[in-house]
Amino acid sequence: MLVQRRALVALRAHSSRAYATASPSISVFAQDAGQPTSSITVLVKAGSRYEPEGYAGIAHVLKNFSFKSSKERSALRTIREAELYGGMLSATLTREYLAITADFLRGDEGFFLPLLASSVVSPKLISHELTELVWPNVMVDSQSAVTSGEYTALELAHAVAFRSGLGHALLNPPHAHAPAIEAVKDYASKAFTQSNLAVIGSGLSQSKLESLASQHFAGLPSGSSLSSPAAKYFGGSTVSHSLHPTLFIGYGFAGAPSAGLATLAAHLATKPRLPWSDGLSPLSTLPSSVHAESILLPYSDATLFGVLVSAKDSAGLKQGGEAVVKALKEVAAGGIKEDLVGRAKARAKFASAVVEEGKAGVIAKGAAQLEGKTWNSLVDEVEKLDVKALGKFTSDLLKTKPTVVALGDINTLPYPDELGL
Amino acid sequence: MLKGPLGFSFAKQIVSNRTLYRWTKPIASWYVDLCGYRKLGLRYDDLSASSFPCPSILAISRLPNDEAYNRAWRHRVGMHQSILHQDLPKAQWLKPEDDVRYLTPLIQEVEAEDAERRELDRIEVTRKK
Repeated sequence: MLVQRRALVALRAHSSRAYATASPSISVFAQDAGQPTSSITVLVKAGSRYEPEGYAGIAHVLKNFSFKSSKERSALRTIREAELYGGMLSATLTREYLAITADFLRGDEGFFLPLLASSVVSPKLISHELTELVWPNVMVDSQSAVTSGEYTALELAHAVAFRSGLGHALLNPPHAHAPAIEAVKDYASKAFTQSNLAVIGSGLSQSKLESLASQHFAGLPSGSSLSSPAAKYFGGSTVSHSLHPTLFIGYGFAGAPSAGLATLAAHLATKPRLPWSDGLSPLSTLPSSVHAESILLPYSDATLFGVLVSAKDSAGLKQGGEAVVKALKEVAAGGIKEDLVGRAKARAKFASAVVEEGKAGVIAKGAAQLEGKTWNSLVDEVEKLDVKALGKFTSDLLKTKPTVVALGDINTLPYPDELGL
Repeated sequence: MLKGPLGFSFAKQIVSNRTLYRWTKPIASWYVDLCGYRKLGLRYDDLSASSFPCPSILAISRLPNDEAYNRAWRHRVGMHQSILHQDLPKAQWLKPEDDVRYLTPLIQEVEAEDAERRELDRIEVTRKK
């Protein structure tokens, strides 16, 4: 224990990190662990959560407009030059953030930061790029996403759990029509402002990133940060037709992920840490045709926790769902052994420490800085948790309204009361 | 490319020189009138359909919806008058001020994109010293 904690403290001390704000009001965060590659992410609060009414799916379109023509360089030139530098450009969309990222060899930040900045400061957002380049990719994203039962189940789970805001669909539905270019421009002009984005770097120093950011993001209007009503958990259940039988049983919280939730997710996690082993999760004893995995999705002011079950048919889903409910009730009754709790805690701490160590951790810290919050590692909090506290936490959790989403053959899908909830 | 809107032309130099412009303008107007396309209700850019294969087809697809609709409408009217071997009534002739180059900028844009692609395909990269 002590060794782990010392190592984490050492990591925190070694990496040069600083909370600071560059010229006018751009939030800049950098952490350098001495790795041979660097990465810069422009994190914009422009996820689907902030979509204005009547513009569902506009965030998804804006994501695919990343790295298209800007006043400085055309889309083709951006790609070709990045290839010459051996860099990797990517844009990812979550419910809260649009992350425009460049990964490159150390020392090339002088090329890649202006490239990222031009995508945000002076995007052209041309109508024919929307029809020729962006919209076809949007449709490919949507069509490949809906083939996954997991994606559809989580979309419905968010909608049921949080309704508006966090409940907004992440991507366009496959039958959507392209929006007008004016709508994209309007959303971009609201999202791309100094107070609405953070520049986050790993593998380069804070001062270097600050000086580059203040130089290249100066042309951005100061504007105001996009806002969305504070997340509120509702819960409920829904069924939907699907070719991929999937069941989601979960609970939402308005608030940051707690130690109890992380430990519970680790307790139910089935993915083995050793090859050829089933692991000790209570869900590992399910037949191989029923697959269950716990998920924990943290947002800036809410958390969604749950278990996704996939099976061949509704009977399999019912079997998996009953096992999940049984496992949760067992923890709530304090009926699990000390060493299993120890295993869950160790796993939760490991997961949290791995995140803290990597690029995802740097981005999480930068995002917390953008939101004006402090980032807390769960490692120490999980350490303090014992069997009794976990049991109390779980029994309180079970008293709230669950979120249950069942996909598959509607005629036979299980409902929450049939699963014992 | 010698003909058409992207062809070899002194227009820029002539327009920038006031005296030269004053001298050539009447001849130009007379020539355009003689071409007769305005009497069929067409614009100059309506004529450049198939003479420039690739860039102009892409450019036409990039026209805003209303522009594309109006272009098709003018083509139909022009074709109909051509079949009748008649010009439109004089009131419906295209006025010189309406003869806007709505397609040429788009064709130029497509050509610039092609040129950039060719340039990048042939680029020689040298390491920074």
